[in-house]
Amino acid sequence: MTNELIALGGAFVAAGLLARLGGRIGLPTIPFFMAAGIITGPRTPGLVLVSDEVQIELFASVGLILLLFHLGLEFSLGDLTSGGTKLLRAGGSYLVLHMAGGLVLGFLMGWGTKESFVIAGVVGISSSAIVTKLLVELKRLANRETGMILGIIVFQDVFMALYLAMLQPILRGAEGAGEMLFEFGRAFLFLIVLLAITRYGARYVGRMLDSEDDELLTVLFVGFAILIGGIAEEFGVSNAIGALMAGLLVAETSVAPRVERLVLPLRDAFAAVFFFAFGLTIDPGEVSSVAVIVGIAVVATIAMSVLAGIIGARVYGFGKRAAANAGLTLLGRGEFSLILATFAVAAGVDARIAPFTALYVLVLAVLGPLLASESHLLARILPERLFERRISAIEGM
Amino acid sequence: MGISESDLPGIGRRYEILVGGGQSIVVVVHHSGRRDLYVMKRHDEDPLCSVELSDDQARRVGGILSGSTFKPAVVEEIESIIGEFVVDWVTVGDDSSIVGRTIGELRIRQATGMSIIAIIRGKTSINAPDPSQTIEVGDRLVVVGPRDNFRGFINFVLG
Repeated sequence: MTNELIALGGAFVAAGLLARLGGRIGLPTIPFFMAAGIITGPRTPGLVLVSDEVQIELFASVGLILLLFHLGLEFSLGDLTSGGTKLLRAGGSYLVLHMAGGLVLGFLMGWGTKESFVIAGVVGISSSAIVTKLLVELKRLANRETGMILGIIVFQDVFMALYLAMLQPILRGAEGAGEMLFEFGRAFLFLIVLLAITRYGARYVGRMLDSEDDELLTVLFVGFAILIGGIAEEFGVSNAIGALMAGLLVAETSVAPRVERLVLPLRDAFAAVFFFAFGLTIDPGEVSSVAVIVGIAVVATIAMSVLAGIIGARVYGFGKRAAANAGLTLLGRGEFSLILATFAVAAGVDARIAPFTALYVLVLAVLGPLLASESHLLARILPERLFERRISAIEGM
Repeated sequence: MGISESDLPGIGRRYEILVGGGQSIVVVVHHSGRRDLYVMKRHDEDPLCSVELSDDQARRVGGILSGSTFKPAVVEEIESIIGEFVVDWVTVGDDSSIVGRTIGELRIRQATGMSIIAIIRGKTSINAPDPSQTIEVGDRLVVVGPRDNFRGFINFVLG
């Protein structure tokens, strides 16, 4: 057992270095933070930086809390509604296709009902971080379909928040009707109280957190997010949902824009530890046992994503190149898949969910950017008649 | 010249400026302050070229494009028509110290040797403004005066 500072520091350094190596060839960071955990973990031969995930568990939890706190902070129904019915149709069809595909896949695997819902989320929700970064790196910010892609991402972020809350009672399962009712009531009460504070008391929370000084504001909002996460656990609600609610609450206060800026470096650092810690729990032996299923899931995801890209492009009146770009850019899976898997494993579902998610995220991490940068090849084989060009008055917008 | 703008959630804001020849310039202003410039050809999916600028670089390029650091010869010619006098304008930024003060109390003509002949404020213009006129953010001050005094006037507005 190495000492804990070496474990934590080593986790940061290993995650950072491996992700930088991946970045050199245009691969996203999140899967490589996780891969660093697998490689330097106790279950693979060679260097063992962290012999037991308990050593960095607390820091990983902080990473998870900050990830969800930030999601809550950025949660924007405004961005969603400003996209109008077009976004609703494009984003909706993306989600429906993937969630349905994921559910079918889950049931075919025969791991159980709860597991199927988790798998639907894991394969259904793109990574905001990876997709956004990919768009910047491929220099596609000026493209017309980019607005649509980012709209679909916002749509998925909002859905992720709702899905996480919905999954909790599904995963919990019944242990006698009375106990379940009690637990459900308690969790419900907690959420209602938090929602009421968000609605009517955000001003006071804002006043409590507010400080002219960035230093004090940082100390206070980090404390607030972690504290709410912890209190949530006491009420039988996961700390992730508590942190999400804390983010939603702070988003309503006057300090929101400053918190959004200040939380980023902290979130990035601790989220890396969270992804690394997830990697630690992965046994390469288990990974090979799910390889075939992951292969099927990846192929299905690519097919669904391309189909959703075509539907989106048709809704917006874009051409086939835009359809190929959208479908292949949205392939990235990362933080949300890993959060859902962690969430599920903590709730005691089939443990194979973890290696499945790890391998799935890794494969798409390598394939995603590769396919997205070569999207013109896909565009070439898409039939033109799917996209009757509507030359409209807003041409050039 | 058509300019359209839209939000890029999580990234920043996108501005598209249609220029001649079926081309358009797309400027993406990131939340981080970074700017991306893209030159697009209409009906083409990929940009012809693109460049990435830091906040500081973008301001410098902006200054050059707006002609505040170097005036192209064409503009010079128009100015020379009025001999040793120039007619020009300066937009008041939000960090300018003259915002909220009147022309009279600033003693602009005495201090800079330039006279304000009009203020263009949004879509309206105030011709031959009174000394009691207050200067607001975004005002375009149209001035006339000796050519040599104009630079001093710019510094006066910036300061």
